Amino acid sequence: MRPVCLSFILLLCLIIEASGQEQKTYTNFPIIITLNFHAFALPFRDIKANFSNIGIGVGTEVSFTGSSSTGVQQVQAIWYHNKAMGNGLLLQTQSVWRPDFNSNAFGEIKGGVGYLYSFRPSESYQQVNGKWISVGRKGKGMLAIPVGISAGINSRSTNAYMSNFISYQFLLVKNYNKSIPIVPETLIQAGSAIH
Amino acid sequence: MKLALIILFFQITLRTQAQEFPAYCNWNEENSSKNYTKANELNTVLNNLVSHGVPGIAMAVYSSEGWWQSSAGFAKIETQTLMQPCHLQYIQSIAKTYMAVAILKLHEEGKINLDDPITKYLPQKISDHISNAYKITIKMLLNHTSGIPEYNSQPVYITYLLQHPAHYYEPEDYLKYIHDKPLDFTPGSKYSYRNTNYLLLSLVGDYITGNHANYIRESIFKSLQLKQTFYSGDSGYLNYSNLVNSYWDRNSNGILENASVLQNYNVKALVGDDGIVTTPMEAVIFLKALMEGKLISNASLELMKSWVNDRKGNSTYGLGLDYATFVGYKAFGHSGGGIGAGCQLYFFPDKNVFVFLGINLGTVTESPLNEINAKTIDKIYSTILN
Repeated sequence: MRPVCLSFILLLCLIIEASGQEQKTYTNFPIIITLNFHAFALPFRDIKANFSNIGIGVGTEVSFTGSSSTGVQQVQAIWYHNKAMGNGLLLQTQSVWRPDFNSNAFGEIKGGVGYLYSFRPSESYQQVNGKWISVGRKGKGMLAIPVGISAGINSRSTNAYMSNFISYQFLLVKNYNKSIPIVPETLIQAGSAIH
Repeated sequence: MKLALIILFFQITLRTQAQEFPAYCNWNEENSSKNYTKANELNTVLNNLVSHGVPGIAMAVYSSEGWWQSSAGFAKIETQTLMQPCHLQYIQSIAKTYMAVAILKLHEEGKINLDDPITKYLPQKISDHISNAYKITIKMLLNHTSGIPEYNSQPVYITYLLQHPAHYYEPEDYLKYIHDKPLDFTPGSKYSYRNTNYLLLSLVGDYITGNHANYIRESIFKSLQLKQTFYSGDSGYLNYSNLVNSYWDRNSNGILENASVLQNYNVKALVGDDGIVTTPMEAVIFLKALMEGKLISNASLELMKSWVNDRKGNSTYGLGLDYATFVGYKAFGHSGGGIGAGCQLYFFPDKNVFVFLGINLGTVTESPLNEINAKTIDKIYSTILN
């Protein structure tokens, strides 16, 4: 838990330090690009495992009010590599509450719903008409409930307006198998929303 | 016609004692009954099982007709390696019976008192992980009445194990998952099966003998001349060419993944509660020797058969021995299940029959295939016993 907390605290310090005077201009449908680190783990446990399983994500968001970034709905598509548990493709949408710490810094609390297609980590087989056939790493689609917290800063230059953030997401994945109906997974995200 | 072709296909895959076995097989054809009266019927049941999607099954029987072994399906799907009676099977929790025998032999040697608290035989750094350890006796570990929490049902352990399949655990690592957790119930007040009990017994064995695995090797494996039974510390442990591959229905939908790496590393680290691989015949040799008083004294055997009751008041477990009933017949022995294997080793005293069954499909999580397994087991026992 400590490395994540420290990261958030450091980021918050940077955010406060970096706060500027300019007014931000929120626009709908920014391009959100994320670097993702996945783990099959309980929240704030086995953080090291996250950094072995890298992924990428792309998404966007739209404001509930049309102009304010305080309440938005995000959509993300994330692919991650996980050698031990199998790769995954996560499509998720989350409602985000994004209070401003000051004009350039913000936090996020978000929750939503998603669909996780989790591949198997190794070659798999199925018997058809008495013969075993390989089905590759064919996996299973499952309902996911992602909740997360984030912190970020808005950054402006003459040509671009970007919001950089880090996020810690915890996913409850349903129907993994009949014996363990709900499993925990985590994602650490670092990304930018390009407005 | 289609049915006939399917039957023909599985008859081709069937191996019984008539087949030539590779050099690694410890198979003595002379010892086997060539005319076992139940052979055809049992082979049909085994073939039926593998035709429903279980990779492979191997079994051994000792009855009034002598020895009989058979197998069906594949030990390794990838290479189409046929399952044979000489393939090594992960016997999973059946290892608890071996561990219990070792403890009872130490008891016979006067090195341990079953009614002593475990704190007498465990280093303090180990017993410190267990709440109220001084209230728990060796016997309570043996018959699962200790109330010590289960380590392998802790979500933190399960997630770490699956995310790090090649992680090697030291025995004490498992105990850290239950460190300072309260006992599940007052020691001695009821029965509840816990792998932790037998993990602790292995550490008790280490404390007394210096190395419980060596003690098991010397006092059981070598004593019974078991050449194809292996445990922690053996040369090339779990790197055997005749060790089956393991398969797991991870998502409970009948698709099997090769879980051999996870299974192998997992079993390699388990002591006391698991960790033994053997052939069907050598598993039966062990149980037969135990029941015939060749491993421990009759008095010790009677202790092993001092059953504790389940919630319904039925006899359920002794000291490392499971009391079960199959198709109306009582049975003493043990079952085992893992990520990539499942097995049973039982003695039916009313019929004087010993049976080992092993499959290379995980049974710890639900699978539609395991429903077929349950029906098949009943058919096998029914065929053998009736």
